[in-house]
Amino acid sequence: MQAIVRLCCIVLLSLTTSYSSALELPKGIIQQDGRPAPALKLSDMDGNTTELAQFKGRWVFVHFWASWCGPCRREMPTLKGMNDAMAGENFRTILINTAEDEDTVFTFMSAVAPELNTLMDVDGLVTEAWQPRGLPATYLVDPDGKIRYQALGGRPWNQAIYLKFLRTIVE
Amino acid sequence: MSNRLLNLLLLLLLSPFSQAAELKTADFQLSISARTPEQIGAFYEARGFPRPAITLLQQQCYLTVYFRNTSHHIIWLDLGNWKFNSVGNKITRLDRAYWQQVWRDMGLAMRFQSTFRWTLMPERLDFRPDEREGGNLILPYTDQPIELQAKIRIQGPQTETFRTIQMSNILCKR
Repeated sequence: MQAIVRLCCIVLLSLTTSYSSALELPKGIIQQDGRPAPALKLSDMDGNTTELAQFKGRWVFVHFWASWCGPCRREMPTLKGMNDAMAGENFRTILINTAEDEDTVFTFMSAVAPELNTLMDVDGLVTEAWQPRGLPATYLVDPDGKIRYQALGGRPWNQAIYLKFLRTIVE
Repeated sequence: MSNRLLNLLLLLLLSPFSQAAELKTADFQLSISARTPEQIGAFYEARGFPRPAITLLQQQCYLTVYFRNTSHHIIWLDLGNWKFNSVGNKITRLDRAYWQQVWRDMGLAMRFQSTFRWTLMPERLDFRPDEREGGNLILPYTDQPIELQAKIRIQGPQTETFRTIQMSNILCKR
C-alpha cells in the first residue's frame, strides 16, 4: 500500500512539474484574461477575405504591424521562421498591416518577407478595436476565440524557447 | 531617394537618438529627442500624408520619447502626470483629442489618422518588466528651453511608490 501511495505521489509530482513547465512563459509574453477576441474580417492585397471566426478550433497568432515601425522590421523575418516551424500544427498565423497603402506594404513585404501574406487594415479601425499596447502587437487566440496571451513588442519567434511555448499551448 | 536610405531615415525617426535628453534610474530609462521639420516631413511624406497636414506638424515642437522599464515591477506611464514648462510658463501638450479635432476639420483620411495615432506615445500604459515603447509627444513650438516634470508610478507586488523626475533643457528644433 505504501508503495502505491509513493508511486501516486511521484506520478502527481511529475504531472505538476510538467504542467508548470508547460506554462512557463518566454520573455515578453504575458497571460491575458481570456476576453473574446474582437471581430476581424479583412482582405489581403489580392482581395481574398479572411475572418478570424473561420479558424474556430485552432490557435491563431494575430499580429499587427506597420512598415515604419523598427521592431516590426526586425521581427518580420522571425515570423517567417515561426510559420515554417509551426506548419502542420493546429495553428494559424494572421498578419495585419495597420493603415498603410498597398504600394508601401508590397515593397516592404517583397524585401523583408516575400513568403508571407498580410491582411490590410486600410483605415486602421480593426487595429484600434484590438487595443494593442503599441506596434508590433501579437495576440494568441485560443480555439474558442478567446485572447489567452499577448506579446510585448517584437519577439524572436523563430527561437527555440518561443517555438516550444507555441507548441505547448497548441498541444 | 533609394528605398534603403528612406527606410533608414524612417527607422531613425522612431529609434532612440544619440543627442537625446536621457535619464536612467534603477527602475527605468527615459530619453527625449526633438525632431527637425525635415525629419517630420520625410516620415509623413513617405507615408503619403497630404502637404497641409505635414506642414502643420512641422510647425510644432515634435519630441520622440523612448521609455523602458528596467525593473521587476509594473511602471505606469501616464502622460496626464507629465507637466511641461518653459521659462516659467506652462506648455499644454497637443494631445490625441486635439489632433483628432484638427484632422476631422481638415478631412484627413482615416488611414492617415490611424498611422498618426500609432506614432504618438500611449497616453497611459502599464509597462511590464523589460517592456519598452517609443512614440512622439507634440507641444506648441517655442524657441526657449523646455522643462519636463513627471510623476512615475511604480507598482510592486505589495507596494506602490511614486518617483518624480525632472528633465530640463529640452530644445525644439526648427
